[in-house]
Amino acid sequence: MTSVKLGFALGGLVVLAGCSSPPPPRVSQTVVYAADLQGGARSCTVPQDLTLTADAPTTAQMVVGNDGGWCGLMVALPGPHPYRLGLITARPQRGRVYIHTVGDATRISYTPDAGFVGEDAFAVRLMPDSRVVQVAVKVEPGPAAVATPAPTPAPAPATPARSTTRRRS
Amino acid sequence: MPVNSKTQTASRRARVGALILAMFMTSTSVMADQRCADPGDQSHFEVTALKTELMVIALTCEERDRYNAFIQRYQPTLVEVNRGFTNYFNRALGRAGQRQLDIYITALANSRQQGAQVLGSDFCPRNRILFEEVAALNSPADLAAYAAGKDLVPVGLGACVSGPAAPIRQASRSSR
Repeated sequence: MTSVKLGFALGGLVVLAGCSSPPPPRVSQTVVYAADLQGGARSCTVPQDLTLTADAPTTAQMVVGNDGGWCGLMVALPGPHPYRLGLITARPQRGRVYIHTVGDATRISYTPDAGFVGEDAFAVRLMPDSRVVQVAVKVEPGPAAVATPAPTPAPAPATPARSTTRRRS
Repeated sequence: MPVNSKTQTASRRARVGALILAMFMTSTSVMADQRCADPGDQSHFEVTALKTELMVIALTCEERDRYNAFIQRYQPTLVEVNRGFTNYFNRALGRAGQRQLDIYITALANSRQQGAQVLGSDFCPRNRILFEEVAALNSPADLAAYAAGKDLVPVGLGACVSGPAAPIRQASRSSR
C-alpha cells in the first residue's frame, strides 16, 4: 500500500517536472552578419514589435540623432520571418533608406544626410503581401553637432572611430 | 599646325578628364549625400548602381547564370535606364558627358567591388539574396522602387553631382 502511494507520488512528480520544463528555445535558421550590426546611430528611437496591418498603412515614428549612423525599424512576418523585399513608395528628402534582411526580420534603415536636422518622411511597401509602413522621421543634432570645444588647448579626447564601422563602404 | 591643334585639343581633353576625375575622387565631402532633383534621374542612378552590384556579386560569387537571367528579364527596363542615364550626362555636361559617364561607371564599379572586399567572406552569403529579391519582383516596373531601397549609390560619388542647368544645356545641344 505504501509502495503504491510512493509510486503515485513519484509519478506525479515526474508529470509535474515535465510541465515545469521550459519549451525548447527557438533556433533561428538565419544568420546575422557582422556588417549589419555596425554603423548604427547612437541615438535611435523606433517602435518595437511593430505589426503591419493589411488593410491600411501603418505609421511609425523614428527619432534619430544625426551622427552619421543609421536608425533601423525592424518588421517581420509571423514566425518571425523576414519580408521577401521592400519597395520605396515615397522617397525621403534628406536621407537614405536601406531595406534588407537581418536575421529573421526585415530592417528598414534610415540614414540622414550629413548635417541635416529636422523632419523627413518616407514610405515602404513590403512584399509579398503589400503591407505599407509610413515612417515619420525626426532628425536631431548628433553628438558632434552639439559638442562644445574645450576651453583649454588640452588634447581632445579620442572619439570613437565610427567612420570605420560603417555598415557598408 | 594641325598637329599642334590636335596636341592642344588632346591636352585640353586630358586636363578636363583629370579635373573630372579629381572632382569625383577628392571632393567626396562636398558631394556626399547628393541626389538628383528629378526623381527620374535619381532612379537611373539607383538602378545603374543595382545592376553594378549584381554584376559584382555575379563575378565574385559565381552567379553568372542568375545575373544573365536578371539582364534578360529586365532588358527593356535596363535599356531605358541606360538611355536616361546617358541622356543625363549628355544634358548636364554636353560633349564631356560620355567621358564623365565612363568615369562614373568605373568609379561605381570600383566602389561596389571595394564594398565586397570589406565584407570579405560574408559578401557572397549576405548579398546573394539580391538575386532572389529581383527575381521575386512582381513586375519590371517595380525595379526602380526596389533599387531605391537598396542604398547602393556610394555616398562618396553621389548622384547628379555634376548638376548644371540641364534644360539650358539640352536646348543648346538641340539648337546645333
